[in-house]
Amino acid sequence: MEIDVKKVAQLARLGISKKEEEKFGRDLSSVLEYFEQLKKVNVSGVPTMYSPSEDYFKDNMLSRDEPADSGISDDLTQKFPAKKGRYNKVKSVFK
Amino acid sequence: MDIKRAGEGLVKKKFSSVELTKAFLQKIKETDKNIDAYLWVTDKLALEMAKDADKRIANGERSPLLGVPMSVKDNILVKGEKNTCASKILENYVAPYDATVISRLKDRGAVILGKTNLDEFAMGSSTENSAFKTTKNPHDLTRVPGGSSGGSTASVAGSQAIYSLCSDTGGSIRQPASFCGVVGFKPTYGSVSRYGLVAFASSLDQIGLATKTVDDAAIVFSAISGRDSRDLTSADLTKVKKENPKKIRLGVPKEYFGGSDYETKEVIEKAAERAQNFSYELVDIELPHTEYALAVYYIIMPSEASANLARFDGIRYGLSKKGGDLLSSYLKTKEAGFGDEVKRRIMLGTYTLSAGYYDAYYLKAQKVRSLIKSDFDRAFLKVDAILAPTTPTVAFKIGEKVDDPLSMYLSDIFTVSVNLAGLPAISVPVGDIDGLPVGLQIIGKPYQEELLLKIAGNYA
Repeated sequence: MEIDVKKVAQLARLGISKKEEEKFGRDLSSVLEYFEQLKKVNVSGVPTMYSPSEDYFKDNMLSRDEPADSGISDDLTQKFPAKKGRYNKVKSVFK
Repeated sequence: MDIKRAGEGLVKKKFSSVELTKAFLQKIKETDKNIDAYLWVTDKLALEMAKDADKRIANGERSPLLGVPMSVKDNILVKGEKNTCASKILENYVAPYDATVISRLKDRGAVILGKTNLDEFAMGSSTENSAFKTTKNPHDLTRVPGGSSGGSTASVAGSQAIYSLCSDTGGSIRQPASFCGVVGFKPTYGSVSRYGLVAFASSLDQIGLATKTVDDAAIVFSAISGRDSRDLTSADLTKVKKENPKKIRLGVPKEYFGGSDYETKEVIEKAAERAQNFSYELVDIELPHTEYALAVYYIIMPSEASANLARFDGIRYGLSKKGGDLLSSYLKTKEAGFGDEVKRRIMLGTYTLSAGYYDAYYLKAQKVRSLIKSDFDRAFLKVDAILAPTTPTVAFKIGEKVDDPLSMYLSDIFTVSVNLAGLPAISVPVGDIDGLPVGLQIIGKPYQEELLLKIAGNYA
């Protein structure tokens, strides 16, 4: 199994070196080969299972979407690596 | 020293919580040079909590965890303390709030000794993937404690804490508990709130615990379990109809006890036979899709991890490396902040979710996951719990598998299907091979933790 490590790393926004590209290529290929065994399983008509809670909680639980004081917003904004007042400063997204 | 004995000593005034806590801090100081179970010790916090516990005891308050010292895996938030997940990307991150399990323990007067080592972001089976240190197995310092909760289980095995809170995504509590000779308990998906646990693979992650005894596991479980409005996957356990069958039937899956050979098999088979001693009935069962569980797990888990870990982008918190533009800041931050195994899993998950591969990997895996769950559903029509090995081998040597990811992944082969199906399971020490502990895994029905712990109590 060949895997385009450079492209995958780019998709994941992960910087990797040339040397890592080779190493991860080897590692990931052997894992993908291991996955080949799933081809043997017949899944026609089988539903997907995304989470155990689908089955155990019959109704989807949602919380109300209303503002409330978390009490930690200052702590969270403190952690911004770059900020201006209470605003998070980021590099421009659009050129 | 277990929770029960510590509690008795405290109530009968044989020692105070401050004295007990100081004794543990001293023990950590003496032994952690060799074991490396702790990333750091929260001695100031521990002594404050111990003083407070002593006051509460003096005022007549009685609670089994009051004043009892414990440790916490470093991916569960304790307000005001560092929470690194053993990653450079969170090296200087201080938790702004308590995880729900921590608030519940604080209410009950627990004493937090420190944060324990893990594989980076709980990704690994040996703690060798920690960015900071490798924990050693207290039974043999040349061997791994298992992982990812190796720091937690080593702290309990090395008597550096009376119990530990940790997390299990594919066996991360049970496998190291087996390697370290302690009890490791992963509750049902939904039994314990995960608010404040750093998310790794959200349909699999569960907070649980490592203890010296099964009785202790029951005490801690009852303290931390139950519905939490901050985690919508947590269940209201008061609505569960508890099963208490007169005659207990234990399933013996032919996939684990049949033809396939593995190192721990003899010890496990011998332990399983003890069922007759407490008049449990052993029933042969089949879990035919077991052989696919590891492949399914290693598709679903990295897929979810790649989404969860996208948040570590250097923008909101954690390590932030500046680049010329936004993209290069992302690339540099993640390159410098994540270790090899985390990078590997992020890439694997990105690949299995990417256009053109999604159906063949992720979607297929979710369907086989249904089949694995159905196997258990069918088995539980006939039995009350299922016996299995926890691990195919005893603790391996440090460095033995670190360069071969697939062989490291194979050490999870007996534990992952439980997480895929969302079931509760416990590993209890039942023997050893040349002095290295072996754990028996007992798998329960969803939300039937009480029954599972009762059965496990007999085996311990």
